This record gives sequence, C-alpha cells and structure tokens, in this order.
Amino acid sequence: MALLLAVRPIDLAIFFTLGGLWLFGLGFIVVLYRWIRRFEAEGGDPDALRPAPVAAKTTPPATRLRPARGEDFNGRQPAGQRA
Amino acid sequence: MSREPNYEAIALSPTIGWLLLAAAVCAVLLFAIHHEKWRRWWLTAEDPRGIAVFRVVFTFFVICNINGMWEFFGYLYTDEGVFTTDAARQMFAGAQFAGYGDGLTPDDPEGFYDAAAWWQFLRGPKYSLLYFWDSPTAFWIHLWAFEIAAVMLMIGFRTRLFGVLTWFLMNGILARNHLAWEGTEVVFRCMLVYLVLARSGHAYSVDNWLRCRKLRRQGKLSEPGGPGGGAGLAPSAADPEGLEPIYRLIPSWPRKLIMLQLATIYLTTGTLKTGGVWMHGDALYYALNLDHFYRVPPQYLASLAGTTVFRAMTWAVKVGQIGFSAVLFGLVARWIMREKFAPLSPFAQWSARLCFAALIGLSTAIIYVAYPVHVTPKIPVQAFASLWFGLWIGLWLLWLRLGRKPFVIRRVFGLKLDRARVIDRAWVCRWVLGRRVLLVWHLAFHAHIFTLMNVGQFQTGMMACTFAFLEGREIASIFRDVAWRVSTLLPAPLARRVPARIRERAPIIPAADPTLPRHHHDRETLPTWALGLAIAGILAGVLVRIELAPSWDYRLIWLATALILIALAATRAWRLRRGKADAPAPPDGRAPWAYGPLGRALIGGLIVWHLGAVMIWLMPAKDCVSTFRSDARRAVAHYLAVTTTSQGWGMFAPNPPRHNVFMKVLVTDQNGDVWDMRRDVYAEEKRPIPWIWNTRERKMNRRIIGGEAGPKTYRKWYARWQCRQWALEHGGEAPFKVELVKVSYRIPTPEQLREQGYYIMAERLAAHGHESVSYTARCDREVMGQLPNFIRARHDLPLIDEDEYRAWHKHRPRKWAERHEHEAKRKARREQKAAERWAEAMARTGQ
Repeated sequence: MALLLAVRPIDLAIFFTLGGLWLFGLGFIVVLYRWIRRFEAEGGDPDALRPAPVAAKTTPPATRLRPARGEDFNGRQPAGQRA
Repeated sequence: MSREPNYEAIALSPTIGWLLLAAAVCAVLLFAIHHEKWRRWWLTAEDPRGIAVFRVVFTFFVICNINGMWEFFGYLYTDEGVFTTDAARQMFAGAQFAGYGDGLTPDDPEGFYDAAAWWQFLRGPKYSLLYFWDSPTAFWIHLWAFEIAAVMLMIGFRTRLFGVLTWFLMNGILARNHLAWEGTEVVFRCMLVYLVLARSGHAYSVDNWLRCRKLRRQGKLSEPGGPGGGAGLAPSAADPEGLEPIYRLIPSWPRKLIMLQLATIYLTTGTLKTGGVWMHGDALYYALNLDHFYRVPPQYLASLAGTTVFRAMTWAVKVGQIGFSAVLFGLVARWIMREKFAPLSPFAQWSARLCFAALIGLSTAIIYVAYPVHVTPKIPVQAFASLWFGLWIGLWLLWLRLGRKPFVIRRVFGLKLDRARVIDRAWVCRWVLGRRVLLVWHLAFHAHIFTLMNVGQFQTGMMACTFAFLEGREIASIFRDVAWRVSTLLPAPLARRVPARIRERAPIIPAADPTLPRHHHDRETLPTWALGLAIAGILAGVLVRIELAPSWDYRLIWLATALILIALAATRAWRLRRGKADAPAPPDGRAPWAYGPLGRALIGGLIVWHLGAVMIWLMPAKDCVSTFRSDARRAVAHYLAVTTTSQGWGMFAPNPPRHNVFMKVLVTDQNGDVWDMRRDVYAEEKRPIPWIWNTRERKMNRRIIGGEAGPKTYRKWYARWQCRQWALEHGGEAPFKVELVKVSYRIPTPEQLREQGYYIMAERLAAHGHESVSYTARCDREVMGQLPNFIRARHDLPLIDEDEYRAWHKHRPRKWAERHEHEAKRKARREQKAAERWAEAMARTGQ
C-alpha cells in the first residue's frame, strides 16, 4: 500500500501508453484481417482462385478421404502424372 | 573488452570450416537443381507499385534520420566539430588518405602526392565531399543538396538520378564521422542501395505522371475503361503502335533483396542474442530501464511485470526474431505453388533430396563437433544433436505429408465445424509462415519499441520495409479500399465531389499486361554444364586459397569463371537476336523476364555474389570459426564497404547493458573555477518526460565514455573539442583542463525490484551512483586542444602564435615512401611462401 501511495502520476503513464498501443493494435488486426478476407474473397489473392478443397469434403464418401489414382488431394491432376 | 580465447574452439575451427564449406556446396547444389525457380524468382518483372510505396515512405524517414541530428551538424560534420578535417580523414578514412598531404608543414603540401595516391583514394570506400570541404558553409550546402535530392526521390522526380544523389550525399554525411552511428544508419545505408537499384519511379511518381500525361496527349496511353484497360495494348493491324500501360513492369529483384535483408537482420540479431539475460527472459526489463531510452518512467510497471509479462515478451522477441525469416519460406513456397513449375526429373528430385539430407547431416555434425567446447544446455551432445536432427527430419516429413495427404479438421475441442478445414501446404504458408502472422509480429515488435523507447528512426526505417513485402496489386487494393471507405464517411456534398471510380470501388488499374510483345519471353537459359562450371570455379578459388595460398589474388579464378559465363550468355543473346524475334508470350500469364539473356546472366551473377558476400560477412565472431573467418571476410569486405551494404546486427547482443552509464564533462577555466557542462540525463533538464524527440547526444555520450563497445580514442577527441569549443565561446580563451567523468549505477535485478518496489532514477543515482574520471586533457598541451587560427579568423577572435597550436603530424610523406618499399618486400615474402606451399602440395601429390 505504501508503494502504491508513493506512485507519481508519471509512473502510471506507461500503463496508458501500453494500453493505448494494445487497443490500437487490436483494432488494426481486426481491420487487417477483415480486409484480407475480403481481398481473398474477391479473388485478389491468386491462392484463393484454387478450387476450394473443402467444398467436396462436407459429405464425402468414405473412399474419397484418400486421393483417387491420378489425382492429388485437391482433385487436380498433378503435372507429369498419367491420368 | 578483452577476453580469454577459447583455445579448444580455435583448435576445432578448421574442422568447422570444412563442414561449413561442404554445407555451402550442398546449399548451392540444391538451388542449382531448382535453378528454374531460382531465376524466375529473382529475374522476372513485376508491378511497380509495391516498391514505389516503399520509396515514398522509406525516403521520408531517410530525411528524418539525417535531420534528427540537426543539433549536432556542426559538432559532427564540420571542421569546427569534434574531428577537424585532417583528423576525420585519418580517423575514418586513413587508408584512403595515406597519400594525401595535410599541408601542416612545408614538406607536406596539401593534396595527393602522386597518381598512386589518387588511386588509393578512389578505391574507396569512404566517398565524402566533406573530407575536402567541411567549413560550416560547405556543410550546409552539402546538407541542402541532400535534402533537395531526397525530396525529389520521395516524390519520384528524375527518380533514378536523385536516388543516386541521395545515396551519395547521405553517405557523404555519414562517412565523415561515425561517432553518432547507430544500427539505424546501417539499416538506412543498406536499404537505400536496394531502393536506388529499383525502378521505383515507375509508379506513384512525378515521373510516371508526366509520362502518362504526355502519352495521353498523344493518344498512346491505355486507360481504364478504354482499350487494354490501362494495362497496355499490343500493336495490331488496327493500331500499329499499340498503347502504353500506365504501370510498366519493373525488375523484382531489388524488392526481394529488401525482403531478404529484413529477414537477415532478424535472423542475425536473433541468433546473436545468446547471453544469459536473454535466456533468462530479462532483456526487455533491462532495455526498458535504460535511462537513455524510455519515453516515460517504466520502473513502476517493471516492479509489477518484470518477472512475468516482461519475460514472456522477451522470449516472444527472441523466438520471433529467429522465426521471422520463415516468412520468406512461406512466400516462396506459395509462389512456387502458384507458378506450377514442371516437375523435376526423378534424378533431379533425388539429387535435391540428397542435398537437403546432407545439409541436415552436416549441420548436425557441426553441432556435434562444436558442442563440447561451448556453453550449452545441460544435456549430452548426442541428445542435443539427435534433437536437432530429429527436428529437421520431422519438419521435412511434415512438409511432405502436407503436400501428399493434408490434414482434414472437422472438429475442434469436440465442436463440429460448419465445414471441414484442410490443413495443406498453402494453408500453412498463409496461417503459420504467412505475412499476415509474421509481418504483424514485426509491426507489433517495432510498435512496442517505438512507443515505449526512443531510439530515433530505427523503428520507422524497419517498419517502412513492411511495404516491400506487399505486391503492387495488394498496395493498389489497399489504397482503393481506404479511399472508398473514407468517401463513405464524408458528408454528401463532399462525397459527390469524390471521383466516381473511388465512390464505386472500381477494380484497381492493372499493371502492364505481361503478354505485351515489349517484354522478354525468350526461353534462353545457361546450360547445366555452365552451372556446374560456376560452382566448380567458386569452389576452386576457395580450395586454391586454402591449400596453396598463392601470391596472386585467388579471386581471379572467380573473375575468370564469371567472364566465361558472361561470354557464354552474350553469345546466346547475340544468337537469339540474330536468329529470330523474341518468343511469343506463353499463354499461362506468367511474369515476363526483367531482362534479356545477357542482362539475366549479369544481374543473376551479381545477386549470387551479393548474397554470398553478406552471408560470409555475417558469420559470427566465434572462436570456432576464427581460423578462416577473417580471411573469408577479407574477400568480400571491400565490395560490401563500397556498396554501403557492410552490416552488423548485434543489437543488445549477446546481452543488453545492466548499468545506466552517463558522461559528465567538467571544464576547469583559467581562474580555477570548475564548470559542469550537464550534457547527459543525470542533469534534470536533459531528462524531459515524456521524451518525444530523439537526440543523438545520449548515444554519443555512451560511446565516448565506455557505456558500450567502441574505441576509447573518442574520449581524447571529445576532450580536445571541448577545449576548442570553450575557447570559441569565451573570446578565444582556452580553459585550463577538461575532465570526462563516467557516471553509472547498476539497475536492480527484476527480482529485487519486485521485492523492494520501484525506484526513482534520480534518487537511485544519488544513493548508488559511481563516478570515475576517464580522461583528463590539459588544453595547452593536448594535441589539437587549441582553437586554430583559421577558425579564430572566421569568428573574429584574437589569433595565437602558430607555435601554440599543437598540430597532429601524421608524417605521411615519409610513410607513403616507406609504403612502396614495404609492399615490395611483402610481395616477395608472399611469393616465397606460395612457392614453398606449392612445393609441399606437389610433394603430397607425389606421395
């Protein structure tokens, strides 16, 4: 308690500094990740143009858990492999 | 600080050297097997908007960094400062000015002695006009030239010209005096070179604006909504000239070098932080409690969080710095997946696997050999080496699994997901090794330092590099979305005035169409045997140096190899030009080459050389590499110095300081009165809270008085300057003496602070501080401790007898003459030694 009473206002400034930074950082991350999702959804990210591998996996037949012969897991025919 | 050499480690050094060489060969072979990916990564063209934003932001901070030293311009960079012209030449560019007379004595006229002396200067690496003209007026002319050039670079007017001028003039200022240098200067020097090499003026620049305006008037510009949509149009029967794109493609390698450089900075500084303070998690605590750095007092928070949150943050920094470079792996892996390269032949695939396995094995062998003679974790060497080996094999197998049979996640903590998630290579590259994770860590790290501590423009320069990780279309999309969001927030009357493209969130303007015939699409490549020749040539140079140590420069072998390869590339380029027009663009939409075959060979070779040079240079200064490190560094030192890319990243490594150290300057005048100049934060007026604007004074004080590593010679020069400066400010009357006092106090440990509570800096200094005189200068006796007559005349002060001025005689004419004799003798010795080694080698071969 004695230590707490001895605190000067300037000693508490770092709490506001750090707290402000973390709040700003949190807001920045939220905005950034929302932007990334939107960017990818609109096809800005070439990776997002790949066939979505998850769509076919919602109700998969048991045999489809492994790629069929001649296909990789994403349903594409790997280059150089016989179909 | 001297330390006892680790002789056992030194004895192991040759073994470590051979293992490292073998590992380097494996790494080079691995890249050679994947040469198509390597050359497409480095040598293709790209959207210019990524590097253009980097140019604007980074150059702004280049200006801020130089202007941040404004209080000390005269002190640092003029002949009235701490180093007079001749002293600066000798201190910072002594070798370059070995054949230059100072004009202090009749037998030593000012100027270069002969042509060899000129050549000695021109070899560099310190090219500064301030070594010749450094009166206050001359400095201000130099400074204004820099400011104008940098602003022109920032806005992109005559970008390449002003880029080179900015680089030359900034380094001209910095090379004149190293006293104020921080890691900041190294960051700005390195990154600015890469920026100057980029065609960054092709977007967001006055240059491109003027170009587009001119083309628009001529009806030759492809615009959004028109033919080509802004991406340019190939010539056709209807339009024989075609249309020019708004954003021409530029070589991508400078931007990629910036990315690699940032990753290198992190990896180097992370691995050098090996001290006990870092391992114990107390580095942040000590760094934050350095009175020279914090913006607001941290002691109260440190007493609460010093042993908990601060430790977690310290380890997050340590792990993050080492792990950040994985962002490059993520970037490259995603790029390779996108580019859909033809698979390697089975032989090449197995060769690549063998090289990677050999790399793992060799790194394990290095650990196994070096472990017993180093401070290590308390586990047996076999266990540690096995862990290392197992880690890499595990990562390799995991990567293979992600490619062949990705993980499918349907439930998390027992909860069924709305749809199954596939964890494959692309997912890992986005969400574990991706920019969205590691660049956010990078920004968070620097934002914390910038908010809590004041270390000038280091953070801003590093954060500016974030833009180099963004591609042009990403930058354009961010700008488009920010502008659109702002437009939605404007009141209706204002919003109506916003251009329709912004209000409607129109698609971004594309960069130049990669299929335009102006781009290079040829399929020329150096044959496989040429890559083998290149590797053999480099290896031959190294082996000749090690085994034969010839009297001639062994790097001639590298030069000869490079010339053969360039000749080969030139021949192929000539054949291509003579044979037929450039090949048509492939239909896959891949980026075109940035250059033709010869340009690719030249720039590709330069990149390989540069990467090798930086890697060699950053080899840590450990005893276990001591027998070859300096020789290896010597091979690349001059190149790195001239290109201003020599670097070192041991910030707060291996440990941060645990003492607060200040410099007190006491001046005793001719009446015997002692004056405290109060130039450090022990004086209350030098300790503004919150501390907003940075000053280099604190850094210079630490360096001069021994608060951090650095030569002790700075002390005498500072004391001499204080003698002169006092005279300048007191009607020409010099003081009797100047004393430099080291003031310090130990920072309590985090545990002590937790138990005893926080402290107030001034009270702790008064109670626990130590003072010791580090240097005393008698101004009348000290070399260059007197204000010279040319400065007295400049300020209308009474002149002194020339005998009273104690000049620094460097005896250069005599030394320059002796130098030629010594060189001849040294050459003869080297030749004799080489002949003996050669004979030994022949004898060994005979056996």
